[in-house]
Amino acid sequence: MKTQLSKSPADLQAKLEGQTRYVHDMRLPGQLVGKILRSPHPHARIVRLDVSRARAIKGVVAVLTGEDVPHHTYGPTKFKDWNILARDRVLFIGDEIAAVAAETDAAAKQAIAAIEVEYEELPGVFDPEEAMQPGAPVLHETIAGDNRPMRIALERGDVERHKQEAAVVKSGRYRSNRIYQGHLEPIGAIASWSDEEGITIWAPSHIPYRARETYAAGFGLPEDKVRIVVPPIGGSFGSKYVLKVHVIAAALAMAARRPVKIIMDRYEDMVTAHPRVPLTFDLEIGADREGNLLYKDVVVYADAGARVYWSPNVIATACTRPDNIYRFQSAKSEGHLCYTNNSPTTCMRGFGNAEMLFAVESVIDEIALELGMDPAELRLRNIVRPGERTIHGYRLDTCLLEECIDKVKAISGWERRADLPPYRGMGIALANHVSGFRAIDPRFDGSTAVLRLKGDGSLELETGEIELGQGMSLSYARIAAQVLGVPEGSILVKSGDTGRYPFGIGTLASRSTVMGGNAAKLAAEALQRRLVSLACEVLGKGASLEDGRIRYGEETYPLSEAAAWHRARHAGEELTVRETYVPDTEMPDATYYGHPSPNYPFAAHVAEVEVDPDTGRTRVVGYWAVHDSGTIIHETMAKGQVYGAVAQGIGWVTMEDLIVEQGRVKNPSMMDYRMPGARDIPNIEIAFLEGEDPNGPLGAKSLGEVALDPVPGAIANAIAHATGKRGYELPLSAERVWRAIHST
Amino acid sequence: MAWIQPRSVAEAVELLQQRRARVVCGGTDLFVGGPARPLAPEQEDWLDVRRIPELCGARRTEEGLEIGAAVTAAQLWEEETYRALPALQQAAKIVGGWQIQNRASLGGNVANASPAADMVVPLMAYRAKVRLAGASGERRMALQDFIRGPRMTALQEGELIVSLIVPERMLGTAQVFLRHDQRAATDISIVSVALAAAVAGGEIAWASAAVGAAAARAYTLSEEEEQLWRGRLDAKAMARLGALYAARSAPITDVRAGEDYRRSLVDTYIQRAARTVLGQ
Ligand SMILES: Cc1cc2nc3c(=O)[nH]c(=O)nc-3n(C[C@H](O)[C@H](O)[C@H](O)COP(=O)(O)OP(=O)(O)OC[C@H]3O[C@@H](n4cnc5c(N)ncnc54)[C@H](O)[C@@H]3O)c2cc1C
Repeated sequence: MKTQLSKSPADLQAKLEGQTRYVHDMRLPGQLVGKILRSPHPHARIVRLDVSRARAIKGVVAVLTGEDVPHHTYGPTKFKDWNILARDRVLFIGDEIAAVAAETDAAAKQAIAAIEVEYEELPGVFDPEEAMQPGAPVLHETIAGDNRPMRIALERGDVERHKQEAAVVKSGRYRSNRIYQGHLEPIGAIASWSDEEGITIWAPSHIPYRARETYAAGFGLPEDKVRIVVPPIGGSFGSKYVLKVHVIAAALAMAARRPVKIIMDRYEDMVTAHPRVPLTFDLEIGADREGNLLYKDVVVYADAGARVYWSPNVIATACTRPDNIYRFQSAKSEGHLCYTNNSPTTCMRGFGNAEMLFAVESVIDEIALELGMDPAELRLRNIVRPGERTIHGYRLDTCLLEECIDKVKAISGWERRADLPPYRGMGIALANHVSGFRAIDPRFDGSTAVLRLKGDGSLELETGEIELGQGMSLSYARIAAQVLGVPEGSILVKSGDTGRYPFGIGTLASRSTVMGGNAAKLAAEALQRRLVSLACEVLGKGASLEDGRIRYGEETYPLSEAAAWHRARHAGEELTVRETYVPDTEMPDATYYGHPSPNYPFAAHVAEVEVDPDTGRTRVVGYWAVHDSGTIIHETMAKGQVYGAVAQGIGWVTMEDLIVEQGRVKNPSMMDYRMPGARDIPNIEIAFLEGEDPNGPLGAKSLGEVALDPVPGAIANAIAHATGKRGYELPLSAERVWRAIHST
Repeated sequence: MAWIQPRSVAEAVELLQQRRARVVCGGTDLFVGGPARPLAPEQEDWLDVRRIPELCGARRTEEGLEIGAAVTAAQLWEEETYRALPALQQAAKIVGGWQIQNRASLGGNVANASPAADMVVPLMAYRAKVRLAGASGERRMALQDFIRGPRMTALQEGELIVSLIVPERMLGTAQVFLRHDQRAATDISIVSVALAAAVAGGEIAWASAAVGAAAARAYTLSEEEEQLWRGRLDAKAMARLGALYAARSAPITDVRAGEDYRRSLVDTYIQRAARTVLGQ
């Protein structure tokens, strides 16, 4: 028997031992199998829909179409373009038309096959720039008659003047591609309905409170009539936010009055995948002769797909965040978010920043080449420094970017770059990120923690953040343990139930360590104060808390005794504190100026590659990652974030591509969608330059996304250095590099 | 649906006549088809050939080396017997990962007739023969004639592959198998090349090469054209060979690679194979 408290139900050991129970492993009494009928066409009118044969099949309990579900205006962002099931038109391959709940998988499949649909195919539009043209088919008349739900236009400083002054100007059309998040656990959910409690959905989502709000609106229910319970999440990277599958499971459960489970197989998951938002960048950067960056000018086109998931935030990030790494004297961004008849796109680790940095870091290398300057030197000359306020208003209390560059040069042996053998190359790239982002929810920001002393003297910490395998629970336990002087193993971190745990904005924007960690720290401090005053009350003045025990004179008492003291005085209630951390940030204004995060992590990466000139095949042979993420709270988990991010980046740059033609995914299997394996990953050397940030818990800044942000740029620059050819379009697959080498 | 395990070729052939059974060996092709290739209907039986001793080992004959159809990729690269066939060993070692190699069979690779099959390619270069058993007895044919196209073979109803026969003259020659793929392990061939050559004193007496994944099926040149391999191949001769094999390819464009890219890879890998056997 395991006697030691597990740190979290989703912790590493449980996963390794196969103890973790994912939604797929759950089974509620009376549970039905749910399946969805999806559009085979990218754009079509539903002329006839007949489910009578499906309803007659034995074992079928509910069949729903657009006629059977409410049609409220809803969606996860301010662009409310969602439905539950399509009524008259389908907008992408995979768009949901009908749903079935049945006793068995076979009956559900049979019912889906028995549904008769007649379509009138409509012309589709698949490219954001074409979607903006007059005459293009319009997807959501009421939201954007020009297919453009969002436009960004901002300028700081005088770009036109700097264009006149610049001695070197480099530009190009860069493209980042659709990336499948590659979560091991396919998308799925179980939903149930009761008249007293409303909807309960068990779904791996790391933004469950937004999901609750969105789904409640979808059904016209009050928010507290929807409860989201989050089982352990088998990988997300951005794919498991707010999903139609959850809504449809709920609709079926309401109709069937029994729990309904929908689990996609890999094929359905990939055909209907909501991949990384593909972005096109027309980017231009100019510098003076000494290598001072003068301006950056970019137009970004983003393919939202047929509905808005998280693409608005992604394009906004792309249009602003990378500008805060360098001292650009002026910057201009224009962004166009466009509807197309592709499956909706959404966020993925890096969230627009990694994509734009691929382009920015590429162009900066081109400038260095033209100036005959070392690319690291050029960067050192232009980076932001501690104490500065960046071009878009970020206040940098701490910034070890300069030290990161120096360190990554040292450990990578950067001076080797000058005389590498042919077709070997080294590339450098920088990155920044946020630790939570003020504009994710304009209404509020921050995080709440509840800390409870249990009868046996152990502690329970409840948070609104979500464990995704990133090590959040370990970090919170460590933070609280350090404050209270108790062993980490005595703290159980709990989260992931909107009906039980504190409100959370959603675990995204690299926020969990800083936001939830600060809340955990505040709660631990509050508990400490409460324990001391309780001890004084019981034992007398001068009682204290030392090394996790109450001390009074020579006597010490375990926390279990303190727990009993409190309960004796409070009708059996456990000693509980609740603390909220509200960051000292500034909401970005209409021009995207503000200080949106309590602090900002930085990184400098170097990649070394070997390119086979005959085949174009790139091997990443060395990788060095230096990070300023403030204090590192849990080094093992922190390194895990960097290893994983670099591996993910290597996949992204050298092979991964969700190929979509005319709205159809051409490689919807893990066999045809290539992701890297262990042998594609070189030795990765990691260095954390630890400095305490005043706004982070124990001095920490974020790490999750900044670890991926520089990878595409670093590898792309290494390939350009190796081959003498610049890659403009991700992935820089062997075939693309071969074409570049052999083009004249 | 039954899982039947005959203990001899005769029994297997008889069972195949009696019932609608599908031959299965490692199942690594049959059972992982995905939604695009649904499994056989449930009333069908499975005839597992892995318990037939004749299919499970190798033996030397006057003709050469006869390898049982159920011999696995792992056995091929691990066992002493196959040392004389390094190209086949290299191909076996690249198939899938360890778990797959423990199940994937040589006969399955041949019968499945995927244009991208790896172990087929050295067998083609070896000019191997296929030994078949069916209701009307045994027959054998050249592998070249057996594989007709993508997933098409000359296997008849009720027949199974007993073994593959590698001619004597191939054993112990200088050999290499090269594959171009997208990542470092567990992948599908974009182009592959196998070469077996009799090399002495830096000179090639004769050679035979096959190219995989660049046409509907793996291909070789005619023995006449293969004369081009003879001698001390200089850069020009190698380039000519590369170009000739590339010209004979008929690649497709799919999600993995474009046609012209595949064609260029044929050229590249033929030349690399040549340099490898010559120790350059
Ligand atoms: C993850 C993975 C990776 C793979 N990687 C590779 C790779 O790198 N290279 C490669 O070439 N292949 C690869 N494969 C494909 C597969 O493993 C090989 O083709 C393997 O050799 C098939 O052998 P098997 O015994 O598993 O065949 P099975 O799946 O059992 O059978 C395949 C076909 O052959 C028929 N068959 C089998 N044995 C006989 C016989 N004796 N007589 C008549 N018909 C027979 C079956 O009826 C069936 O039609 C991979 C497969 C997987 C799942």
